[in-house]
Amino acid sequence: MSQTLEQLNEVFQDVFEDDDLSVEAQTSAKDIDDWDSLMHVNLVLAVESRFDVRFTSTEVAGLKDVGELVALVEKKQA
Amino acid sequence: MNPTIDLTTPGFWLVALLAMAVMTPITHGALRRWVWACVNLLFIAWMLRLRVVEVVAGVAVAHLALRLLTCRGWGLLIALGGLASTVGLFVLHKLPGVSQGMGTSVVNPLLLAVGFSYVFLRLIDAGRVIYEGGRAPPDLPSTVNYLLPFHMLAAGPIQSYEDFVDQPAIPKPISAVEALSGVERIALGLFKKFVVAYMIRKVFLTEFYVTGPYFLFEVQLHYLWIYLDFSAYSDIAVGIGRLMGVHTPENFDRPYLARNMIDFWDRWHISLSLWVRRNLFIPVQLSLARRTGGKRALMIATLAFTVSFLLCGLWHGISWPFFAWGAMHAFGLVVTNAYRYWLTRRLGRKGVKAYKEKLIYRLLAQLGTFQYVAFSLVIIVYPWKDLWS
Repeated sequence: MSQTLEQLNEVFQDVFEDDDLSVEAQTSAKDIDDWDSLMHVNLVLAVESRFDVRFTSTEVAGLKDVGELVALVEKKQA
Repeated sequence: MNPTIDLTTPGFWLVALLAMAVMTPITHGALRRWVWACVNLLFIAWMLRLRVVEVVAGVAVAHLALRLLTCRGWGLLIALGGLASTVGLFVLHKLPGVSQGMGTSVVNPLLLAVGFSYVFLRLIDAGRVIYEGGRAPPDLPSTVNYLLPFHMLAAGPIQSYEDFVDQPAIPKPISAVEALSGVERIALGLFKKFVVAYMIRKVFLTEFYVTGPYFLFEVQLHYLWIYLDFSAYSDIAVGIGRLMGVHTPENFDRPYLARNMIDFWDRWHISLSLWVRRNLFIPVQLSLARRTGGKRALMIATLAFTVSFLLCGLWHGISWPFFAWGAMHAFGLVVTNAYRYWLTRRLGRKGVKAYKEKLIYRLLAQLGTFQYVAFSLVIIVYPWKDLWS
């Protein structure tokens, strides 16, 4: 598991209030019951805060899975 | 009467067959884009009897504006000007009276014929994505193909600009099974629209000029009729798209099974719902959440739902019934969200999951949602004027 994915996993656990939650690159909204459009924005804000990055609404709307989120965070930090 | 898209005319199907025949063998990306653009323009010239030069001029202006969005320094000005012009054209399209008063009614037949309501949404989507640097602007044939795809003009679906750009220049060769599934999908759409929906309308619907138990019966059938008629257009568009190798997004997923209004909008007119999410809901929610540092999530979601669905109602029609329809859906979404929030606090996430799995609650929720949606649709078509007079 990459460092970014590890840190994202912690963000997911905080946002979805589930310490047992474990995400992988392929994990998408379909795999997590509460990951709907409302939680999506809360999740994005938590990720922005954790990694000190800022996403555009196009990037937020276009995210399809955790792998894309990892790639986006790493691109912003590069 | 202005010509509009009519699935019963042989011309529509001739253009579809022509598109399948000429586009399938092409293995060169740029050539395919140009041929597809020519097919779309042929449809507009032949079926809609519009002068191609006027349509091309309109597309060229849109194309130029989309390209200028990437200019440093000028991007914001172009974005604001483009947005104002697009919204202005949309208002003229929806309110022909205003257009006549302003002496601009010459543009109305063109806007009506191409189904500008959907072109408007595609333009906004492309403009936002390009302005934010999400994708590059389209070339001229791609502008025609994104804004005016002949099989999606009548009633969508609304393809996102990102989805359009991300499609391979040359699609995979279509297999016999895929071709058959495309034909089946078209046949299903035709059967739904011209047999089932037609019969329901002719036999059972009175446009609500009835009272008593039949009124309640008609409310149910009216919803069913709208679903069958509307989803039939999507079936036909998806089927034609599959046969031409043009990706056409799905638009419905058994909406009558929705258990709440959030679930309903994940199943009904999905491409519009996703458009609202990308272009209204997320930008509004994100902007407000950043201002409050992520606090007051429930209030922010309420505001985002309200703004998004009031505008969604007005997109369908600039009138009080459509405004009321949008308000009713916004209210349904807000209540669903607040209820879910309250339930999670009370039962915990695992408790909510167990609650949702109980059959009786699911059936009651589905029944309630069906009725709520069915009555919301009555607001739009009920003969209010006759009632008041």
